[in-house]
Amino acid sequence: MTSAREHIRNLVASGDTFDQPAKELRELQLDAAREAFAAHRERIPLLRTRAEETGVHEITAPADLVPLLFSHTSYKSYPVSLITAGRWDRLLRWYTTVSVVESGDVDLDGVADIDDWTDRITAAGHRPYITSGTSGKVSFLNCDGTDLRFLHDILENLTCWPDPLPPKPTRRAYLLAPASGPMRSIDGFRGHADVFARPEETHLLTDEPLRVSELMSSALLRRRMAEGTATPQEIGSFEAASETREQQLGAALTQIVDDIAAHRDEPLLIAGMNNQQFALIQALRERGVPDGSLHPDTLVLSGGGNKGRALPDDYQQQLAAFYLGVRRVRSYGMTELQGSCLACESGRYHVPPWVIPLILDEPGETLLNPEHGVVEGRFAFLDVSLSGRWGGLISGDRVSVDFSPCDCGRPGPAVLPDIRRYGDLGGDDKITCAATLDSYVRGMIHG
Amino acid sequence: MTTTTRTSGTTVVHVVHGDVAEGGPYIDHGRGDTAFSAPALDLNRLVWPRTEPGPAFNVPSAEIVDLLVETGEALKTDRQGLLAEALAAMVRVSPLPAEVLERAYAVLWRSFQRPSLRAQIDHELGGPDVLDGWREVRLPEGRLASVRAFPPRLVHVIAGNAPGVAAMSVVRGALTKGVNLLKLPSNDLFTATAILRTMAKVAPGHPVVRSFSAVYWRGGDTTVESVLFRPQFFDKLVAWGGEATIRGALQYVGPGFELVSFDPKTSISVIGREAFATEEALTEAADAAAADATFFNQQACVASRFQFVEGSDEDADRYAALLRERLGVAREFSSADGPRVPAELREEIDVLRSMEPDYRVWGAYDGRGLVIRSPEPVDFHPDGKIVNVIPVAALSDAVTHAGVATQTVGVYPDARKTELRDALACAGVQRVVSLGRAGGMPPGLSHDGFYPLQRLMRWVNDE
Repeated sequence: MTSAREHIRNLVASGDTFDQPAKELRELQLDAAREAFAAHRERIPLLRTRAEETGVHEITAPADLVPLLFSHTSYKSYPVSLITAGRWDRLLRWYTTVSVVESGDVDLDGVADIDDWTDRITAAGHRPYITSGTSGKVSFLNCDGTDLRFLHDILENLTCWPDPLPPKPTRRAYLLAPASGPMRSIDGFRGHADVFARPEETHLLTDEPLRVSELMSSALLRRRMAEGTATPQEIGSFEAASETREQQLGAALTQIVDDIAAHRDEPLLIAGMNNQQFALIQALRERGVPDGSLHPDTLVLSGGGNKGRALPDDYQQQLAAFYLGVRRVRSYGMTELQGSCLACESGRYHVPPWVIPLILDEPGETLLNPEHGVVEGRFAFLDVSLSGRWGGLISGDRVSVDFSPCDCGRPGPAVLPDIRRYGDLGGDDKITCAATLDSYVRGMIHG
Repeated sequence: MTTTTRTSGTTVVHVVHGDVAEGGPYIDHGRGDTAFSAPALDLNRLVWPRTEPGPAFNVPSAEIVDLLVETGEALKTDRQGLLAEALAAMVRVSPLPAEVLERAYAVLWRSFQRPSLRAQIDHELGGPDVLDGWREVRLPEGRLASVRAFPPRLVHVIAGNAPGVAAMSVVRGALTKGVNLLKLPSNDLFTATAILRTMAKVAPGHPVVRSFSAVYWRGGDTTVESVLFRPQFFDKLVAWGGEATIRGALQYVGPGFELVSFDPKTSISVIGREAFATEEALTEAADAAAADATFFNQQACVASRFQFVEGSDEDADRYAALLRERLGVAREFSSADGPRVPAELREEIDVLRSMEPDYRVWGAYDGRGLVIRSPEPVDFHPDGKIVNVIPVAALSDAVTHAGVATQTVGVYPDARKTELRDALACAGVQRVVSLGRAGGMPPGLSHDGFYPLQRLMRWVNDE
């Protein structure tokens, strides 16, 4: 018998992924949530602790899931000192509390740095996808083989939904990313290039792999500064190295810009984070490439928060104007969720069937999901498809979700376009004299 | 932000040049249950022109001390009900529970006692002579010169995590004889004005009373700050806490406009192996450490968050269990119940709970106190009655965890302070205290590494 979770995962290739009748889907999702909870409670100690503490022993309704949700913090709750002190076994123990990885699966012999550690987990059949925040501390989000296959299925079947793109390798590709690395966006860009681009004509921002230690370097240095062990020379070198890297990436981007300008009459694939995409279109405009002038079979992938880098408020409109007439993947998502909420013809982001949206109040405690109509609140969800980790998560995003059928004719729920981060909505004016050490090291690194 | 002619809900009173500012339009601030309204500012009235001396420039310090002592007496009895009125309003804006605010208000008068005022003048300035006139000093070549601690023009951005900050700011401002504009924080919109109004009742129209204004504007509001924070109007910005406050203030600092910063700080405790000698000693240490950790329900900069225990994991566990119990006890400046542990921290702690025996956690998220024992200090900031206990082989190992952000270090037993204080000072620490004495800084000693009264004055020479 097919389990409810498999059933839901199979919807990805069904041709009517987003057309499931709401009531039936809700029941299927609840069954899948029960399955996921039962399976993960066995293997993920943090979920077990949470269940015991909150007294949630079974899932009878979506509200039961709320106390069981994790947040970004859960996936970066390891002490940074474990990395600076090279305590790889302890770091693995931490990882086994937030994922289905077990200590015995992973060979840590001879691990020298965080990149080795990440590679060994990958070698054990798991993919620890990382996401980075402005603090430099990265989250490790575990995926297993099932999850990776599912991601590939999403890419093959749903790219450019609602008008899916035939899987033909016909494009000249530009991936504004390192050659490899444990980031879902990099795997996603590579996966799209494999399916939609000519392999010999794929250009990368750099041929180097992404190094986790480099991504974490500011967090690691910050830790040493807090401990008082970082030398002025080290801080200076760090800043100089950051600047050099920016310059190298800038030069690589210039080459890509020239190449795109020269080949703009061909079908292209351009993949990059929003801030890179924005820099790219500005440079192309400066080269005299007018808005809307790329080949109509061009595929553009973008996304990602801008991690504290300022983009103009209208950057989305600017991207839309420049890429007018080409195929764009328009979605709302995050690494923590498999696939994304994809934009329909009306520009609303439809929540995929394997994701149970849970709209919460701002503190993240009360479920606001209505039967019908629009509700504003914090976006949280259970992704029942996930097998390598518990898929229940509270995000930092303030969204409005319409639970009624969409203008496009498909059933809801769909996320409306105006999405904001609670963190960007401004704080209060409370002043206290109590502080963290961070106040004393912050700013020295990032100005 | 909208302008209204009359307001409902929480209304802030402004004091301008010693008088309650009445009439005129009000402005709505804040959102939801933190909403309040305050009178619109008349910027011209918030400065004292440099073309004339401030009202109290030539008032003898003895008279000012008398006035402050009388104000203290009036605060103690609160006959006018001004403190009671402020307290009722404070409950709506302060994150502190009503009972803690009540007890803090009941002792506000203590900052106004004669011996403590005298101690500040004597220890920080070397006596009243230099405040009241010119002090003769003999120069190396034998020539005579004179110096005077001249009254300054100060704008104070005060912190609101403990009502005593407002009292301390009024006392210091009065003792300088200068002019003082106090910017109220949104978590304490009422204490400073209640004190100033009480002072005005004691001595209506007194020059010191006319030397004070206290108003609210949203911190960082450039339409106010870029106008006022200028050397033409003020000599110094006295800014308390909050990284955003200090960094925001920096942009205005320049020739003639100085920053006196009571930086945001954090505090720790170190507990020697002597605590494990007897059950009584352990109880005594845990109780003293709990007092330090819960000062203003851990909202104050003196509140200890990391505690280093000289001993094994098992020793640390015995201590931690006892400490957890003592954190849930009501004290003069803390309540039995604190704020619930915020979701963000709960996440981090939940993970640690799953990592026994490397980590152990005592207590729940109900705000009655929670203790985490870990091999190294945790990366997150323990807040809301959370203490992180770290076993160390020797107390000297704990010194490496003190730094420029560390204000107060409580030590048990007292005898161990001597061996640690130079190393702690070298690391950046400003106060080494007997465990249990972190709260309530004694007047006349340094604060954040300097003598405030000395730093607030303008030192002028006659050579």
